[in-house]
Amino acid sequence: MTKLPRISKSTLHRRAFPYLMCLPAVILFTLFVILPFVEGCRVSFFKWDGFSNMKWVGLKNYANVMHDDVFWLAMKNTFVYAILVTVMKNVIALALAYVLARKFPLRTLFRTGIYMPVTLSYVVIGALWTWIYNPTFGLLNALLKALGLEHLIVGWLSDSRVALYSVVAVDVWKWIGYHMVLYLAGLQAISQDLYEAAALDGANGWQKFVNITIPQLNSTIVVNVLMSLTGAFASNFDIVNILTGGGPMHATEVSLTYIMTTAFKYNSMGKANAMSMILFLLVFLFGFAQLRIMSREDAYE
Amino acid sequence: MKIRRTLSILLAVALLCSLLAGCGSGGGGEKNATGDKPNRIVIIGSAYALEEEQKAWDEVCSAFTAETGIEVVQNRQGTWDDIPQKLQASKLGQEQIDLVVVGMGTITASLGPAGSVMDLTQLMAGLTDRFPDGVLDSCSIDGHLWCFPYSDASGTTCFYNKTMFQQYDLTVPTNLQEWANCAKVLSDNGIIPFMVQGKDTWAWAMPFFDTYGQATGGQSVEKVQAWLRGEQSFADPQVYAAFDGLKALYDNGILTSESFDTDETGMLANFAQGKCAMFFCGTWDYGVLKSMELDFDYGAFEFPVVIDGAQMCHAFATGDGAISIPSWVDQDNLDNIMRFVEYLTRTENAKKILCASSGGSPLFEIVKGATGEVDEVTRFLNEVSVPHSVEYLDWVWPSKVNDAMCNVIPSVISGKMTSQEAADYVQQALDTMVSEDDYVYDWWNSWSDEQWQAVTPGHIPDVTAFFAK
Repeated sequence: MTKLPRISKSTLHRRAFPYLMCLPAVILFTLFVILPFVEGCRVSFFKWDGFSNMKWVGLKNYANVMHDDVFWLAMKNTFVYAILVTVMKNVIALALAYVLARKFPLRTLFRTGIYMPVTLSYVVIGALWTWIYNPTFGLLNALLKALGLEHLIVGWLSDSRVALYSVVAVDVWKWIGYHMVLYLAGLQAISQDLYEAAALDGANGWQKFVNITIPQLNSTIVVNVLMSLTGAFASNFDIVNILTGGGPMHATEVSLTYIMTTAFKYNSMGKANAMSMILFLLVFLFGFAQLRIMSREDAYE
Repeated sequence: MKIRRTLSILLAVALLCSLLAGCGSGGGGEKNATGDKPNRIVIIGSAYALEEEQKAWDEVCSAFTAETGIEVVQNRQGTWDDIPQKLQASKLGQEQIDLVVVGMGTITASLGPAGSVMDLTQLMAGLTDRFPDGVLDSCSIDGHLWCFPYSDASGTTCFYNKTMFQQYDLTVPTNLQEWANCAKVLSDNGIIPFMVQGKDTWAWAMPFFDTYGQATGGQSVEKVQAWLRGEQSFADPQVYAAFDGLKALYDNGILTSESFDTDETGMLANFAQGKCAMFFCGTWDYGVLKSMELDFDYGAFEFPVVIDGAQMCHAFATGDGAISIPSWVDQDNLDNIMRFVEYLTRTENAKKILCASSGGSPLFEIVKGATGEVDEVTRFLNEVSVPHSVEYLDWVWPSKVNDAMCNVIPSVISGKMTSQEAADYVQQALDTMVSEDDYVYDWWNSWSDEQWQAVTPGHIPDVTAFFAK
């Protein structure tokens, strides 16, 4: 009979050590992410108001969600919100990073000023922008009046045609500093030799940007886009809740606000969990597709 | 290397323990070193509107603790519509909550049918004579008391800038035409005639209470109850008239687009700074108004008649900031809880809190003897407005219907929806509740013995034993 090779104690310790180091994070992740997800999935098959006993209803909650026009409007708003926020955050942040990568007077002041909204909480930002958008006291309307553009004044948060874009603008304003910092780091890591070589070959600014900067920033772009997308899907509750509450007439209703309303105002926990499962599935597919499309293993050196 | 590894492991364990330390069963069940449950009452509610109100509560709670040794923990955060969510989260987290400051409307719309508040009928039997006749009626459903009122009663009313009216030689409007004439003079002088806190979506239902009351001749509650029982459709001419009455305000330049983007604070700021001449609100805003240093005189007036042939009608009820007991409360703590309730309902303590929460003096007598100074507005509300009032409709219909109403009203006013479309939308909201949630209006008639038992206190403390000697 062949004897199994003896593993020394030190080898065992060495092999077990990485797993031990990961263990606290895995435990926390399991407790606060996996278990609640599994429980949420289970509750989605029950009728439950959060107080009394649960009653098994099978797929009825999912059927109700499929027929719920407000939920699908909220999903549409969520995707529009996510795409707009992602595109605007990344384009503006990259542009700002490109400008602020150069040396000029007061550069640090501008960098700091642009980053500051990232440090503010959504409650503060919501209160601030509620007043900026205020029709009587608001800075925005005052600025438009001062510029003779009174015809552009609308109900920024009450007009269903613009309310969602008003909320998007606030979210973009809050986070462009964060993405700008990531792009700045990416830009500073690009070797200047590439730009010099391109200049020798007669490339202009735009050609350098498209053929050198963007490919070299690919991994940074993927990270920023992924973070923007997941943030837009998973963190839009606070800003929408504070600015509009989902109104007017569900024009700014996103999936998270509607899920919260369904769970805690309408006391329909089962249906809310069913909505959460559907949202998870859609975001998972979207994120997976985005990663597959945008991640490349080519070397650009 | 070995030391570093050991230190790393210890650090990781310490981190894990510290992060999990907060995952206990909540403050409710822990015992002290001797094994006895702590003597504590936890009361939750929305954030205090006024600093004086918080001071008054702190004083009363401290005095109660000094007298009885029972600690009172106040958890007052957020807004009134956060309460159901807080209660659910607390129940799931097994946190101790003994009393909840919640409106009867929230109890009727969600907490009552969900069985999350206790039947107080027997518990409060020894204290009912501390309330004037009729005050507890708003807090009762089918003979069961679900809360007791502990804030000023409230209603809908309008305020106007008297100084401005005198300046422009205007009189208080009593009907749509007079109101439109006032509005034109004010608008021509660059003043917003009338505001509603339209950015607070929940507030849109309030002017509808008035117009629907006008349209139904003061029978709006009965009509809504019949509708919720399925005896009639919401889409009827009186509902259309009520919606049209509100739209008429916008069409006649009385209500302007500024209201859609203005919340309560903004509305009061506009009035305080003389940018708007009149506004619609709940009487709870009178306390805030009184606390402002205004450089003009102001007064209250009734929401004018906007439907031909109708009479004035407003919303009014006691039990807006009522106190209830969660149904899952620790029964062993009921004695402490009722001792505190008895203490709160003593005249001197109720007067302290109710006067402070009302900005000086309550508009209405909620606890006997807890009254304050009677001023012109108080006299107007009691003698003129309340006699033309009916109960808040959002205390009758469920949350989902109320949300539907609050969504359609600004759409009707701004012309994005017709009255018929709005009524159909609200009807659909009820139909969805019936089909998805088996909604029944008179839920108290359909409860099983088990459901009643879950909300019935295990024992009835003798509150007379707590009376001051």
